[in-house]
Amino acid sequence: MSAVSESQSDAAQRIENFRERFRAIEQEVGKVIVGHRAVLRKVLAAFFAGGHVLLEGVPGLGKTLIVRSVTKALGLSFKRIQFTPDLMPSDIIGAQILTEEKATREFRFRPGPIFAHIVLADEINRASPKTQSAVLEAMEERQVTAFGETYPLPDPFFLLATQNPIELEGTYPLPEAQLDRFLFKLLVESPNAAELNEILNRTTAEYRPDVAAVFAGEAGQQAIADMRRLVRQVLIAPPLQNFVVSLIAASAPNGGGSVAAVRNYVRFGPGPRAAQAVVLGAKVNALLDGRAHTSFDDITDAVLPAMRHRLILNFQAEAENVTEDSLLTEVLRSLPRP
Amino acid sequence: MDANGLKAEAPTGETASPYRLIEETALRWYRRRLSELLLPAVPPLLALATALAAGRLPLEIGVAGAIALAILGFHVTGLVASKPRAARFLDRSLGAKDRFLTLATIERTASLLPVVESSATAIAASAGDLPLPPRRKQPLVASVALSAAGLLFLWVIPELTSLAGAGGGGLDRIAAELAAGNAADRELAQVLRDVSKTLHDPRRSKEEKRAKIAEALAKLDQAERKRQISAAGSSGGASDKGEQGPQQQADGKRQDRGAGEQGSGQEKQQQAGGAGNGEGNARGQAKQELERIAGEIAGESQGAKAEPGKNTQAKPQPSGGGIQGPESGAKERKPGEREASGNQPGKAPDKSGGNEKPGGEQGEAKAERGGEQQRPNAQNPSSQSGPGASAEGASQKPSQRGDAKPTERYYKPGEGPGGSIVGGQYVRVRVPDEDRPLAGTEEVAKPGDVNPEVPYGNAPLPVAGSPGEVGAEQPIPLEYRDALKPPPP
Repeated sequence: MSAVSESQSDAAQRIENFRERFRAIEQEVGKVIVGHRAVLRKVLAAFFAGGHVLLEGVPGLGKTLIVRSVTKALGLSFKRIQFTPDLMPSDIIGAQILTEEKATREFRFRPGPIFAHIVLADEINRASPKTQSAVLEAMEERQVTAFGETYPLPDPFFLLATQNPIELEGTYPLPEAQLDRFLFKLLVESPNAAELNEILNRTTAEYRPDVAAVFAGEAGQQAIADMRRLVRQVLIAPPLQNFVVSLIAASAPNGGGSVAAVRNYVRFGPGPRAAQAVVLGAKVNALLDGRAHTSFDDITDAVLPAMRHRLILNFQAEAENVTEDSLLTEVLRSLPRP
Repeated sequence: MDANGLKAEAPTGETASPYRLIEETALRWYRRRLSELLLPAVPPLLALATALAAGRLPLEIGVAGAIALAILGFHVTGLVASKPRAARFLDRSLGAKDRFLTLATIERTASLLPVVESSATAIAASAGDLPLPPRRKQPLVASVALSAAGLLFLWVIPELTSLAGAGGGGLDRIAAELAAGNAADRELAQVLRDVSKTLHDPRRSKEEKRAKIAEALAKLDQAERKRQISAAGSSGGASDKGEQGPQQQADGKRQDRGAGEQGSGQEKQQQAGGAGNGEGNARGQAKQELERIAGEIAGESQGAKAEPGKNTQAKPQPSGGGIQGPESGAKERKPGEREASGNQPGKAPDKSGGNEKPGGEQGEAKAERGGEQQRPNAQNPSSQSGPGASAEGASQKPSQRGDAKPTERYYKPGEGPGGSIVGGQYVRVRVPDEDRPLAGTEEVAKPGDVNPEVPYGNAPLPVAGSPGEVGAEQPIPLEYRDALKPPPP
């Protein structure tokens, strides 16, 4: 067997392993979570793409449960932070405390809950902007700085934030800079009747299923690192990449090819991080389909979760009930297929 | 062979690699588009070729039309052999999810590329015969539209005098000139158009065409006579010249009539002569053109046995750059005449009337008379003598008439009004009678010929007293010293 064919079979095996492990995680989480298959898939996609996810939905839809289940399935450390208006940055990052050891007193840094593989920032829009900004550095640079010292976060680091779209009183909407740092923004929908029945069966009966870890120990973390690396190796044809660039330009009100609706309703358009998010999401989609290359459908599938929170609409859009998703759909329709 | 006619070259997925498949698809795509371009373009091209062969369409227009047609066709069909386009087509037709597009556009060093290659190969192998893009209707529609437009254009061409004049004959152009004149000229224009149509009609025999030409010539003569009579009646007592002016124009002869141009009727006479000049020229050209065509027809009928002298006699003289009479071109001329006078400096046609044509009837003038002809003619037009003086009033510019003196200070040294030469001198060069071509001349000296006198350029020589003055005895330039011989004693 030639070297070429060996590398070919090896690459194909890596892709197949990715798919199997991904499916295994979905199956494990699916034991607990009813429905929300698309949300779960996108959460996992963002995790393997190396991004963070903002989940938006009304209370009681299982957002927190999804995150906890995914964490268990991945076998990683998990911390949960309930964001409240009086939450301080030190409550997240950590603080220096005075310790006494061998008759010597000194300040030592005590890491906050941000120091975990997976962090759930529950109702993140309830904390003050000062506290919200405390997670900015952690999200982008995977490190925090406290009292002049920089502390790296564990790898992988995955932040899942939730926010309630209806209870806006006493909340602080996330600033654009922080929104831009989320790879995906996922909308958690209410379950349908069948799903609600299944939820009742699972949660009100004596037997309560539990999630088993798909990855465990050092080997598990190595496997996760391999999977994240494989995502970056997926190919994307230059015409498709150009399409993503055109998409970003068309979504900006001042962009060259922006459509009329964008010019009318969008105050600020997406930036380069949006293009990165679309491409990374498309690459994960390609791997989940068993392909080593990105297709046009992979890209269109990743557009809405990757770009909806990066479009800042103006007042006219809110007055006319124009949503980000409808605008992006129109932009997609207006662009010629590569 | 399938409906596309390309089945024999169609690749099968079993044997072709994805890259080869893309290349072959691109090639097939190119061929398909080429056939879509060329096949529908055949009717308009055939129409163009037919029109060109029949002389109905000028060559330049035909070539330009063909080029424009080709460019339009390439534009419409998008005839580009593009691998990404072929790959995109393969992806869509085989449901390959952009595998071929990735292979066609991405670098071959990518680590996961073998996976894409193998999956694309598998898809191509399972697809069997690869399809071709569907035929497009635009080329066919464009071909029909272009053919219709071309036929319409060819139909209209005889009515477009500018185009018709550029083609063979030029009768239509002359007819257009005549049509701008009076009623008699318009009748003549119609006659010329009839002749032109008859000539272009392939169903007409040569005898018919010849008869039509003869008829037109007769009408031309008749109209000319009528015009002469009417001109004589209108110009009155002072119209000795006026009567003769048109005749002179019609015959293409310029005679010296300096004495008859004096007196109060001079200006009037000049105007009448000028008016008659343009019309007479058009008629003269028509007559000349008809005679030329008649000669050609006669030459064709006589075939190879026709005497060359007849044809050359019927053809216009190539040196006829100016306005000339109908017979001037047919007038047989000896080479020596033209050489002796055609480039003589001082034979300024400008001041003595724009109708003068160097190399025409001026051939009778001798080189030695150049000094006389350098005199500014505008000072006294009536006192002019010599060839060409009779046509002076025909197209004389207002600034050159009567007392309107030209502003000489704006002329370059050595030049006069209308490009004439002032202060020119002759250099007579005797070329040894050797059998070799002379650069810059039209004649080749033959052994035994009389030494030809070769006039050289019109560049003025330095005037007397200035630096570089040329005397009568001037040294032979170095480059000629070995070529020239001293004149015989």
